[in-house]
Amino acid sequence: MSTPKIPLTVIGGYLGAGKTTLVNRILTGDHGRRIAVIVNDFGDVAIDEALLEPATGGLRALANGCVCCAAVDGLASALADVAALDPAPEHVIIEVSGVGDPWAVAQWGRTPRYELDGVVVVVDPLAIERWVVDPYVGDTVRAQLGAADLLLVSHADDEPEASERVAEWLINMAPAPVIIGSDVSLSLLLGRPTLGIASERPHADHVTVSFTPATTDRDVLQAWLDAAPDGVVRVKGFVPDGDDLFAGQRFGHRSEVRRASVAVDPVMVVVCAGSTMPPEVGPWCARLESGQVGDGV
Amino acid sequence: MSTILRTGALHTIDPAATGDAVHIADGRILGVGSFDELRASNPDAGVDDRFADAVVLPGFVEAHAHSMAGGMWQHLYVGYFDNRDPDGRVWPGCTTLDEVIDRLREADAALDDPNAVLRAWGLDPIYFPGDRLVAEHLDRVSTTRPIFVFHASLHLATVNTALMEREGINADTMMDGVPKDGAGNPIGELQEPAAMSLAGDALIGMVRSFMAPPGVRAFGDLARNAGVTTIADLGSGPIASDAIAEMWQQVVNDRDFPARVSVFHNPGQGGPAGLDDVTALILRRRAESTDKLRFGGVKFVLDGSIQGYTARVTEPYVNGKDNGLWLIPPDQLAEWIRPVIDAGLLLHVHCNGDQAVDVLLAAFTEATGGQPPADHRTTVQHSQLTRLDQYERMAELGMGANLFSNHFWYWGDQHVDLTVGPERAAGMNAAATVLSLGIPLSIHCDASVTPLGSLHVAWCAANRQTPSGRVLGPDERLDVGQAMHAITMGAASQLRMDHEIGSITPGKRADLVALDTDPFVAGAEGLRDINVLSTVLGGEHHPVG
Repeated sequence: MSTPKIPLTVIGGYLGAGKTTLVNRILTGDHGRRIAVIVNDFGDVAIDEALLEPATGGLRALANGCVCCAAVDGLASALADVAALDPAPEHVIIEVSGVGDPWAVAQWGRTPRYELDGVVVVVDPLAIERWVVDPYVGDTVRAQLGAADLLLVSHADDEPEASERVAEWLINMAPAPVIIGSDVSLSLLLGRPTLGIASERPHADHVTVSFTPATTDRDVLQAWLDAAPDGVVRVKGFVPDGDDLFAGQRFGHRSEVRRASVAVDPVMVVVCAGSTMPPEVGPWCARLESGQVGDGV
Repeated sequence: MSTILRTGALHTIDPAATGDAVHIADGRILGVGSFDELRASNPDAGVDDRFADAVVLPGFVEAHAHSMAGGMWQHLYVGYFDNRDPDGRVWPGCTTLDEVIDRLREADAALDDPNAVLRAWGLDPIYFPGDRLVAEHLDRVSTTRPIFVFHASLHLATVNTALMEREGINADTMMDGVPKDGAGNPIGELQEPAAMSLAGDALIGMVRSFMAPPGVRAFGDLARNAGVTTIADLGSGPIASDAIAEMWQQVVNDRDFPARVSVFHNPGQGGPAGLDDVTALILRRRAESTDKLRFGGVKFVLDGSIQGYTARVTEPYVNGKDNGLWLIPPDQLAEWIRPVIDAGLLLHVHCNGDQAVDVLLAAFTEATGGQPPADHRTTVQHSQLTRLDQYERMAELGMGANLFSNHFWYWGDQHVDLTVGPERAAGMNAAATVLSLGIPLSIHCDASVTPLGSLHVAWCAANRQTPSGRVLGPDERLDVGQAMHAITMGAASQLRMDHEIGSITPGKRADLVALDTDPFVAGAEGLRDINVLSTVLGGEHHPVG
């Protein structure tokens, strides 16, 4: 088993959607987690200095998707610098440029030192309906929505009605779960730390259940994840199969199984949006807990 | 002491200066006239007869290149077209995948260290429809030595099995950009930066070599071999970095470096994120300029390339590919260019597709209130699909066009068949339209995207001919005089250097090119067959390699 991989979340969304506000709120939040942020926008790849001041030194250059040396070298270098921090961050966030393709950037979460957590796309409820049909950026914005594992409607406090309406509309636009609000909990946004590094205060926007899964092969685990009921935003855990250990993960509509990079006890954590657990979730969890996933999934 | 340079024929690109000899002192042109007259009026001057049988023009000016064009030659060339390296050796194009493999085999055999990575560049799969270079091909070169083939787009690479084994790229690698075969094994193609980064040092070592001093010196050699005495680097490495700016100074200010270089800052490649900070940085750099090295240009990249289907087009690509990419949010462009224009810095904007030009025109109008400052020299770079209505607006706003005319030869057939179709292909790089509207015109090679060659791009603009023999938009062809102007004064003007270079005019710098054939005698058809013999930079001879 090698060094633990660092979860990587990409935050995207068009200009003015509220990405930076969200990132700042995460960085200043009272959550006890060590989170590094890389801003992949115009200019240098900025690594948040407040958190990572001692280690960053000279910030590396980068192009936002441009074809040049710096494009290859920049984000790679920034991610290498962040991974080399001691102690390593528990989570890394990349904030993408307004026209950036968050799914393309998310692929960096599959480089050796990282594990892709997922893509959060922030939506401005007052502008999104205009942007998706804009002759210049409509296709870009629609692709961003399609790349999301979680859609976050911002400016909810100022514009509650627009937020509700846009949230309804987004459900038909894009496959990802939609969350309204600026005060979204880290458990939804970044997931719960599976290895129990930090705990979070109870929060009204989600409910969590965890259990010990039975021995299962990776295809069955994949099928179980793919069958998650509506309302499940995140699933993450470790499932044994003989001498192997597999990491299973689901965020939004996308699930993934890979060989675990660390030795841990089997566990599965399920996070649902809202204040109550949807009724289908209990039986669905019980199938993996008992090892009776069966063919019906 | 002054020198009279006697020529076989002289084209000054300055209607007021005629003759067959140039009087030079202290790196500048003192006079132009007949050899006998200059000799009579300057009896103490020395005579330089080295170009007595050559045809002399002002040194060519290339207003859009990238210094990595030099650095790439530290690695093996496997491109489709013939290409000449900095030492002057011509590498024949590899027109089949077998030829690519043969060239790699030769290079493999010539490497002493069995573990050294074999790195190659220039492969463009658009010329191999239905065929795809994969690890299996490269394994025929070596099953032990890692091999990394960088595609011409710089968005893709192909690697062999030995490299994948070394870097742990295998069936467990789950990434978009690592395509797999039916059995779930990676085929050896790595798409886009995240996937390419899996190649580790094979990639990073190559990319870093592009911006190292030997590569930049090779860039100067390529310029000299093409007859270019002033060349613009439109963004290769972020000059926000003192180390990179100092590297430029150290290499270009060296007396032996054979060209002047105008180095642009591309804020998309790094540097300060704040608008005022960018402007302050470039103003500070501009103050560090010398007679050979110029800072002060700012380049923005708005969209991608046509052959990569990443240019932003109004009408769709004919083969159904999705519209291209924005590299800057269109709604942010005005905000970004305003401080650059206000500070009087030179602004050049990459727009390959016509939709990108729409965005630039709107942003430029907004940033200047529709009343741009006098003599601003804002230039649309590439401007390949710009429409007539857009050129009319560019003329009103006083913007220039630097056209990528080399496309007719390198991708002209693909543009007809695959990208934009015959009608739009015929209107691409509309040089005659540009001139008819009084828009400042230059034409460029965008090296390393296409090989650096001013006479080649002049040939393209004057013939608009594809490899299959099609002539795209014959009415847009330039005559020889227009083409020579575009690669001298036209480009000098867009770099705001026309007061000191671009023509053989008394008072300007003694930057010249000597050719073996007169372009006006060779005619449009013969331009690309003319050989460059030597350049002269500030009075110093630099024979080609």
